Amino acid sequence: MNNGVDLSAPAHLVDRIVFSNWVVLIGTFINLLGAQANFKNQYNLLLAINVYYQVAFILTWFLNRSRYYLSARLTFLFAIYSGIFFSCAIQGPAFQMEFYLLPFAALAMSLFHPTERFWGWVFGIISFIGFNFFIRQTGPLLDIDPSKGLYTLDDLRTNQINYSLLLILSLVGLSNAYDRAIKLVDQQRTRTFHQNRISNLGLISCNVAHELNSPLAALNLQSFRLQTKLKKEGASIEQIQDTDRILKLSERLSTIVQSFKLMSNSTENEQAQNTTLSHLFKLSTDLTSERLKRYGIDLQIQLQHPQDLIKCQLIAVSQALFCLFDNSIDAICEQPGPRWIRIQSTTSERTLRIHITDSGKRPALEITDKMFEPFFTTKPLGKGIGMGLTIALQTFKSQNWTAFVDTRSENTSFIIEIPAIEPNRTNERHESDV
Amino acid sequence: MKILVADDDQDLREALSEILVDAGHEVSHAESGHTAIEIIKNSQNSFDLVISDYYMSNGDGLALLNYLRGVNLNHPPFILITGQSDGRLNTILEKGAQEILHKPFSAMQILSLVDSFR
Repeated sequence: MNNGVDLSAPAHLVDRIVFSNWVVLIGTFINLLGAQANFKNQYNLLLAINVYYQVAFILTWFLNRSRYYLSARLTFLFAIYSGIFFSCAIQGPAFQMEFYLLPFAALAMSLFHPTERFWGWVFGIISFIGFNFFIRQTGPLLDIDPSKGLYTLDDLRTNQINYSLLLILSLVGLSNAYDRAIKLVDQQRTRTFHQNRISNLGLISCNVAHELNSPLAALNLQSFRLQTKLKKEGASIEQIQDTDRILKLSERLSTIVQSFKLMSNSTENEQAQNTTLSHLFKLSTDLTSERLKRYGIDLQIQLQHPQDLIKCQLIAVSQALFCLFDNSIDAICEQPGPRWIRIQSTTSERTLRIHITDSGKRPALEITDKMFEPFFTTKPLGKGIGMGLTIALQTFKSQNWTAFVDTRSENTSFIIEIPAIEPNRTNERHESDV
Repeated sequence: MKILVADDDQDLREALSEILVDAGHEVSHAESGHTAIEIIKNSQNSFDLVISDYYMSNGDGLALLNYLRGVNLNHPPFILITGQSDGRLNTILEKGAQEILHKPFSAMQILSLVDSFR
């Protein structure tokens, strides 16, 4: 199922990591070459680096808010090292602010990136203390008078040692960013391999389900025939009950295969149809019953008006809800204490709100912000590819529904809002019939 | 009723034929679409109902349906049994099939469906 999800994101991600890497490489090279060559426009070159440094910070912010957060980290690294270079090279009063911005930027970065928080703080604190100490000991690294507007060869020669330190800093930055990029690309490759493997397993499972169709139908027909024959011949109640068990088992197998096929169906050309809430949740939860049982998870379905009609692409929405339930099961299957998933619906006017809550603790805000992003997952490699919630959200959006994480709940809770439902309260039972 | 069952899965074909015979119907069966067409030709289209699988190795359910509707637009009624659920099934209904029954189906489902054509 595609449902408009941008599946090409990882390729772009890799491209951007490589691109960022080259920017770091070329930027640092120009930086060093320009400084060493001691051209008359050295001062302008440093100003240009400063401009890049500022732009890189802004770029970092935007990349960080988008799915390209890996590129954001690399861009940030380059911004930091460009900044260090610039601030160390020019220690005129007008540029003191640049110097002090660095550790704060590192700290800010650590806030935006939950996974980088530790290193963000370490980097920020070390750079703040270290550079303050260094400057107090040595004074400005280069004796440059910004009012002159240029360097002289003597300026650089007299600061050869300090300048070498800048070189080392830049090279460490380059090396760090490069290693990081390689590591990220490797991680992405592993993830892509895993995604392909899961995709192939999905295809194989579909084929197996189709292969089971005819034998299951034959099994059911033959069991029915045997039971009819035994009844006619006046067989004992035990014998009739035995055939009844076989029939029920074959019907259960048929339900499992049909549910599986429903979940694997393409929904590209599916037409919207009216369905009751209870039917929708029955379809979505049929395939989860075995996992719920295995992990001792209590499924509580509390629908206020189970017979209310909603118009939707039934298969697509069932698949999306299945993704949500499956995600919940993965999240709570190993947690201690009572495990439960609760589905509640409330209706106000003609808007239906569905709460899908599990016994897991609500994730931190920085995680909930990214939960619906493609390929974002907190599960270990091999457990999931981070597409379930993305597919679910895209599907709900395509039905003009709204879905979001309930940040006020103590537990993990998703809310789905469905406008314009058709009330159907005749013969209604207050308890869910699911 | 005189019913023709066409399915390349021997187990299902036989089980379906037997259960229909038990229910009092006269049943012929074929393992492919082409064989089914031959049987229809030889019987001068005297069947009251045709039940056919979609995918068969030698002439599929669509070919059989096309032949039947080429001879007579409405007779006999045609039930397609299939494990597929793709968009091509809409074509089958447009071409004149009366019902589509998804595998795996139960005895009660097929018997009540057949009864509705009496």
